[in-house]
Amino acid sequence: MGWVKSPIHKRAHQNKRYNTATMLQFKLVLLGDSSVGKSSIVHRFVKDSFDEFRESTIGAAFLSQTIKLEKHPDVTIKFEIWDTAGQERYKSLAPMYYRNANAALIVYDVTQPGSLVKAQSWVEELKNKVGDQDLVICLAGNKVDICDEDATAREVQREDAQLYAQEQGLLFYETSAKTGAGVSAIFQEIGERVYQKKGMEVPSSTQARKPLNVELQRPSTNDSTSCCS
Amino acid sequence: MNAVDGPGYLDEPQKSGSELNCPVCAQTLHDLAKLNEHLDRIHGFGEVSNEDADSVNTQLTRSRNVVENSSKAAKANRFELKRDHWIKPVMGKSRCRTCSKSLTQARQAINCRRCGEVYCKNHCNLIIKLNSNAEYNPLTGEWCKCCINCFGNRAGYNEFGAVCNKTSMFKELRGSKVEDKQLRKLQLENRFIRLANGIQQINNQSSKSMLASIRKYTEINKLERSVVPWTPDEAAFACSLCSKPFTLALRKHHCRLCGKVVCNESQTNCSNQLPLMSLIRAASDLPISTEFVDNNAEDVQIRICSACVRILFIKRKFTRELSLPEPSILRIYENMRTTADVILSILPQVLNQAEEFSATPNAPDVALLTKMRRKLLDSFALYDRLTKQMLKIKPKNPAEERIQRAIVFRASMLIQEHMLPLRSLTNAASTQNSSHETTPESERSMNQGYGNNLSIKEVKEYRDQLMVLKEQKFLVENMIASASKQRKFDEAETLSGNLRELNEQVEMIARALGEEGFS
Ligand SMILES: Nc1nc2c(ncn2[C@@H]2O[C@H](COP(=O)(O)OP(=O)(O)O)[C@@H](O)[C@H]2O)c(=O)[nH]1
Ligand SMILES: [Mg+2]
Ligand SMILES: [Zn+2]
Ligand SMILES: [Zn+2]
Ligand SMILES: [Zn+2]
Ligand SMILES: [Zn+2]
Ligand SMILES: [Zn+2]
Repeated sequence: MGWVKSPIHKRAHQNKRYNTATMLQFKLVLLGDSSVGKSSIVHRFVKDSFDEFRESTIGAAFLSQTIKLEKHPDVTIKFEIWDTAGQERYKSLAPMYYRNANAALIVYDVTQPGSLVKAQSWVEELKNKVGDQDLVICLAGNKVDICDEDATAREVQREDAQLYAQEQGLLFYETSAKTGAGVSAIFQEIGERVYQKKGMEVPSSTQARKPLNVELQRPSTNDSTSCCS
Repeated sequence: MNAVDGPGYLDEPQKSGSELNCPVCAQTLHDLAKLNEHLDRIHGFGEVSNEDADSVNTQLTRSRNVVENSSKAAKANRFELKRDHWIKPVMGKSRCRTCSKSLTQARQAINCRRCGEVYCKNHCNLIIKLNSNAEYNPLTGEWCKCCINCFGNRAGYNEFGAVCNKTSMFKELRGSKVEDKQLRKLQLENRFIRLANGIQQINNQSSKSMLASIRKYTEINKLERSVVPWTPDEAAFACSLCSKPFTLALRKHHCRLCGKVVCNESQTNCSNQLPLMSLIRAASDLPISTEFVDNNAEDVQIRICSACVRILFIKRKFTRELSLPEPSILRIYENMRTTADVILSILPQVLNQAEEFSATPNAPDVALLTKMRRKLLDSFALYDRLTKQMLKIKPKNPAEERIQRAIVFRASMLIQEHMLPLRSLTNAASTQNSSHETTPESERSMNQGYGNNLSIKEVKEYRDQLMVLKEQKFLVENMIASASKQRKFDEAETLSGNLRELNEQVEMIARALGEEGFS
């Protein structure tokens, strides 16, 4: 099948400064109502593909993806992503995954106002249970491609959500897993923030703690589409 | 042998079972494959019609040509499906014709390409070949999405079946079998009656005189042989039931009711010496005199084969057990079920009334509402009492224990599910109408739960959580396996960490649940 290249990968290859590379491992958790497109966003990010008829997630799925930071080309970040299921039934699983996460991506659907309410309740829960000094929280309004086609489909205005995000001190993006718009930007930004928070604190110790850093020069893709497997 | 005429021929049983008649021209064919071929070839039911079907090769090349031609044609002028028959879905109003799901977004609705009706995505997921006029055309059509109706109603699909009513034939066959069986049973019953009565007579006489008692067994033996002629030993080479050949070790025995020669193996249980008195008791509906009471009768045994036992006694035992009172666990369950039915029928009425009541508090229906609520609470109390009774029964075996546990679990769910809305209702009504009622004792006792000190609600929540955790454990275990296989060891390590956490949580909840957990 060959190696599916995302724009991120290409960029990563253009920067050939592997020797001074720092490799960081971040844990990221996805939260949000069911069928807002959490899994779709992850798959766009990890495999650069979109599946119209995705099965809804059971429990929590695990994926990983490695990127290079645009602003710090010598920094490689490996995201370990837990994609949780949005259904109420699985709610009790979420704390286990956000408890030791570095970043949380909370997704809502711009065509479903109820999903923003749900997203806000996740923000509340995270702030109460974890506190945002250790956790980078990002809010994402997904499925903007629907609004681009049909402006009347939009139910959550960009400005409203942005204002809320500002008040709460969250990163904010609008995305489309279908077209890919905003997806790589959001992970770049999250990576940047977590790097600033974490990487700056203990730049050397992180490197020392993770001995398997630099050898991972090729972005590891989380599936069998990798070119040499 | 060829064409059979007349319209009614299908209803008559065919004499030679293996032959079939063509439903169209009535030609006789030897098997189903031949009939299918005949239908395809002579009557053109096959998708590709071919007059010269003698050679499979020509057939293949022909169909290949058809495909090529049609795809060439499609490329030449792009396939353009007619759309003006599509029914335009009205968002929020239209419903899927199959599942009646309300369609609220344009992305969910889809038109069947053939009939044009609106469906949800799930119910328009079949494909058939349509021409540009949206008509079924298996030859030159293009694959198009369609609904199940259009899929099933397309010409040539499901049309081969011809109705052939064989009920009367079956009934006749079955009837004669049943009759045979009935006769056989009567015959055996008669023999048994004669044997039992005769043996008792001999017994009675032998108890009177010493001499007679010596002759007792020869007399019984004579009686036995007069009731049914025994198959001569020389004629039997193998057990008539299990077909094992007789040897010196495998001795021959005669069944006293059917007279056949059978073996006495304990494994196959082909025949047994059975005490006459228990047999008489097992068939107490038969006219056998039991007036004499003599202990001598107790030790008379007669040999009966397993086939005769089955015909004569096992069915009797079954019907007698049916008429016996049910075990208490089922009786209580039956009561619980009727009570639950009462609850579920009253509850919505009460809730409706309460809503009206809160809208117009002065309505005259207050008395009615109160009465219904009373009845509801009483039913809940009864249900609760029954559940606790059920808990007290000692199960006789593991199966019964499992049934009992399932019933109690279900009961606690029902109370949990339906008591809550009622609770808020009780509060609302009693603030306005406080003099009337106090919370019944039963309601409090119901929240104490069953088994340990968790409330029913907590038990339910914990169980759900446990289930989710176990599912996730299974998923993560699989993820670890596949990560290790792909030599992604750092990922496997992360996942293993998660598995440890999951195990800890499972243990914690299992401990909290104690006996209420899954077993
Ligand atoms: N049009 C559009 N559909 C999307 C987008 N993201 C997800 N979907 C669709 O939304 C549905 C639910 O997506 P999924 O990723 O399973 O949501 P999750 O339950 O949050 O993981 C799927 O049918 C996706 O095809 C998007 O950006 N645009
Ligand atoms: Mg999902
Ligand atoms: Zn025919
Ligand atoms: Zn449907
Ligand atoms: Zn149709
Ligand atoms: Zn035998
Ligand atoms: Zn017999």
